[in-house]
Amino acid sequence: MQAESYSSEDVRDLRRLARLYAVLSRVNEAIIRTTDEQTIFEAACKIAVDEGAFPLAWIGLFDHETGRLHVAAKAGRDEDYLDRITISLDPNVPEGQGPTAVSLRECRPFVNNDTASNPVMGPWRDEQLKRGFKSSASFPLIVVGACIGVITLYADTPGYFDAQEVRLLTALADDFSFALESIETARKRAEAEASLRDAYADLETRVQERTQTLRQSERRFRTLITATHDVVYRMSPDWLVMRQLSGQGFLADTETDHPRWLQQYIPESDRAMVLAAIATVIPTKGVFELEHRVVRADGTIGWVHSRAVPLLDEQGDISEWFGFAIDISERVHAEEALRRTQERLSLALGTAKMGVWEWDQQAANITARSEGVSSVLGLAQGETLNSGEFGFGLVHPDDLDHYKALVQRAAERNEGWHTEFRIIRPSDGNVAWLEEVATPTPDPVTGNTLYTGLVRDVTERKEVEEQRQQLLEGEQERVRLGHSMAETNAELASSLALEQTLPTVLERARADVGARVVAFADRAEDGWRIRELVGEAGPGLVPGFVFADREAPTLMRLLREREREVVPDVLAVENANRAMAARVGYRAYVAQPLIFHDEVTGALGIFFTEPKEPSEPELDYIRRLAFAISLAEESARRYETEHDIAEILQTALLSLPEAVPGVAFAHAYHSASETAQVGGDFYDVFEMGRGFVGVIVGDVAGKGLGASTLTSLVKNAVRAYASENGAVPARILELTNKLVFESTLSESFVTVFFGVVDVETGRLVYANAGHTTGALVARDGGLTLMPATGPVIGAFADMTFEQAERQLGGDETMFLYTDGLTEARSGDELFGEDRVFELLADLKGGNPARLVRGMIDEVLRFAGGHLNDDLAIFALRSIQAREPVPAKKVEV
Amino acid sequence: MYVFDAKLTKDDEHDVVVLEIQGNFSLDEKSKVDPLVAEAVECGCRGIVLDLTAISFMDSAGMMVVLSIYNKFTKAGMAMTCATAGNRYAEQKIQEIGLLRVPKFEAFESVEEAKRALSRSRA
Repeated sequence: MQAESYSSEDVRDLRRLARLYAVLSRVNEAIIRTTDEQTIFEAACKIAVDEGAFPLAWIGLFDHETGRLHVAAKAGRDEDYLDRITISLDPNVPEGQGPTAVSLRECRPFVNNDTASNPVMGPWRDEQLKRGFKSSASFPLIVVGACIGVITLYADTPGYFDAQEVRLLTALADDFSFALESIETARKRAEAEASLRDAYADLETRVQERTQTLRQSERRFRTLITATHDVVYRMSPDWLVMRQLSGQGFLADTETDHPRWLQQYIPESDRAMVLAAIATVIPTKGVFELEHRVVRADGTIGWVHSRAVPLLDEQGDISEWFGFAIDISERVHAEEALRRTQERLSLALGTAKMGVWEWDQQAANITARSEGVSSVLGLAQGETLNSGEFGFGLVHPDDLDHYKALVQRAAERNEGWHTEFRIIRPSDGNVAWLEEVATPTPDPVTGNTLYTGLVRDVTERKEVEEQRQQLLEGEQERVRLGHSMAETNAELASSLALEQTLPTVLERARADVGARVVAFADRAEDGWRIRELVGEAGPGLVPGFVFADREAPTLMRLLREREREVVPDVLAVENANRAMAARVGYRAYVAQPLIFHDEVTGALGIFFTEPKEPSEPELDYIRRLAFAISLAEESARRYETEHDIAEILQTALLSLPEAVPGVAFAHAYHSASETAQVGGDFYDVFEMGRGFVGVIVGDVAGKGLGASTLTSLVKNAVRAYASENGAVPARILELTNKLVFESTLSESFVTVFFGVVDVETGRLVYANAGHTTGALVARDGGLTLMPATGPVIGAFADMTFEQAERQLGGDETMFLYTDGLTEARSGDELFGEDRVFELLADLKGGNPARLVRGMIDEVLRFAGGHLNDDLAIFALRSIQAREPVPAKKVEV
Repeated sequence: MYVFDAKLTKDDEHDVVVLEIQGNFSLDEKSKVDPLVAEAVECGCRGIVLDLTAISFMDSAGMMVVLSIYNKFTKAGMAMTCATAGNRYAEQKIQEIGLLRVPKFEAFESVEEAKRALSRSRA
């Protein structure tokens, strides 16, 4: 081996390098062993001084807050050097141009190998040289690319820091930087780890708190669920297995997995529905919600509202279903009952053609609340329409104003209403009558006033009512017209003078039917003659006016067809006699034929100013009026005939012989009225032979031909029985009674005085069958009365009669009369028997004619000249003379 | 006293009706009595008491009515009595009509007597 030779300088350099490597190595060890930055700083400075023989080493770090460099660590012979110097980072000042400042600012090593001569070392030269620092070098400490500080080393010889030392010291600085970076990284990691730990701890705390909260929440939830739900259950994700069910007595509990839950809890009727609902929510992970039937714990069927939510795991898959259900059996049953009730109500309403509506006054809409509204108003149940357009739009125009006013007034006063009105029915366009009752109630939701109305189709009822009203009015009209017709009948029946009663009767008819003119015409030889006419007809149309047949086409039609003709409006009928209508001034008329014995005898014409459809009662009235006039006319004709017969008969009945031997007599007869001259009073005197004279005075109850007939019967019967039986008046009246009773109606009777005078002796035998009391009047005024000796004739069969005797002296006069005398009236006062007898006493016996005359005069004076009943008076005196004395008829 | 009046009353106790006619009973009043007579016949009672105690006048038409009442009631199988209470005029009229000679007819002084008589006749 070849030995090399080294100089002392070389040895010194080698030693110096060896120290630097030792420094580098020791610092690296410190870096490896130490994790504390400050410890590394202090160790590095100390190693540099101790191992590298540098008199001073220090580390300065940049303080970002102050912008200055502060001493982090130092070692060696400082001697307050670092406290005395100033280092600036400003490159423009001398204190900013030294090794430390340049190295930090420019992040590179800076070497000062001769403090004494280096111009940049001016600010620090003296202090350094004073302490033997002849050279210096600064190396940047770089952490994560940024220069955070500088390590500065001082040497006691100039030129100490050559390139090799600078390279070694730069490596030292790099290692230092790495160490600082590692420490920083470790610190940050520790900080991160600490932060993470804190975060984790916080998270854990929060999780714990959350868990606690969740547990509380879950407890509350379960409590709430249990309290508010009758059933809580858990189901497998696919609902095939029930994991748990708490039924709280409503449903049977399930504590373990239960694959046949469907069969146990769900009745067959609802299983398909339940499964369908499950099938819908499983794929969507949605909420199961369904109302369905369940089999309750007691085996009965109930209803639940069931709701289940899916619980998802971390992967979002369904881990199970958590469900709860409420027992809604009562509600469902109530709803079912309500529905049935509503159905029944709806059915009832529909059957009754009734409907319920609701009117929101503020919102102005109307809603149908029952099916019935459809049939009534054409509004479907639940349908809502504008009340103004719909409600009022249906109302009949004639009722609209009234209905609107009613509703508006009710709305203003917050009152209900009850009314009936017409509508145009939407279903068929016909007019219908509705009855409507409405009541206001506040809407609890909107606060608006809601009117709930019940509407009913009362068309049929109204039609019945209208018909009833029409019938009632018709009946009332019929009664009114009937009463009027009764008066007319009475008037027509009370008088046989039709011409006198016709004006009254026709005027009444004109008022009764509201006619302009009522006319009665009959057939005349030369046409039609107006018999009577009331009202305002045209000129010339007066009673007596005769229409030629050609001028009276309507009357001619009546004559041919015998049918009533009613023309409500002459302008609407082609063949109407418009000329006559214009002449008389009418628009409507009724022409009613008068038919008697199948023959048109005349016609009634009822003429109306305005068009008119006469009612049935009016037409019936007109028909009856025509019949009554026909009858009256016929009665008048019959009476005329009868009267003629009766008059002839009565003339015959009242005819007395001119004279009867042995007696002198006078008589008077008065009929109650001129038109009914045939009465029932009668008298007779006749020779019976052998010197007997019969005297009859009688009174038949009734008048007319019947009375005359009965008079004839009685008169002739008495005559006949007298001739057969002689002077036995009682027997004669018994026979006459039997004959009359058997020949007449049961209520017919006759009062009869029958006496037989023996003209020779003056003996008077008589029987008085219910007749007025006769009297024998003496010349001095004395009276001998002859009251009834038996009942009336004809009332009862097999009556017996008494007879009496009187002596008719020559100076006495027999005075007989009918009740027309005693019943003559002066107001309410009757003439009476007493007045008759008093007058007879005053008149005294004697001349029969004088007595009759005196009595007639007095009774006429008493009655004011008017006698209201038939009256017959007969007076007789017995005379001995054989020469007949002519009878004396006293005129009344 | 002459004012006409007529009224019909029913006496359930005696099962009779009482037709009271008072005042002047003439042809003019016949139409007022006829409906009462018809109603009395329809009543189905056993008899009628004709109360004439206050009658003041009766003409032949009135007598015919009385006679017709008697005939209608007897035809219907019912009895008729009469009460006159001492009214001589009424008694005279009843006598003139001949009712007093009818064997089954009686006139009584008072309506009550007439009722009792009808009631007894039933027993």
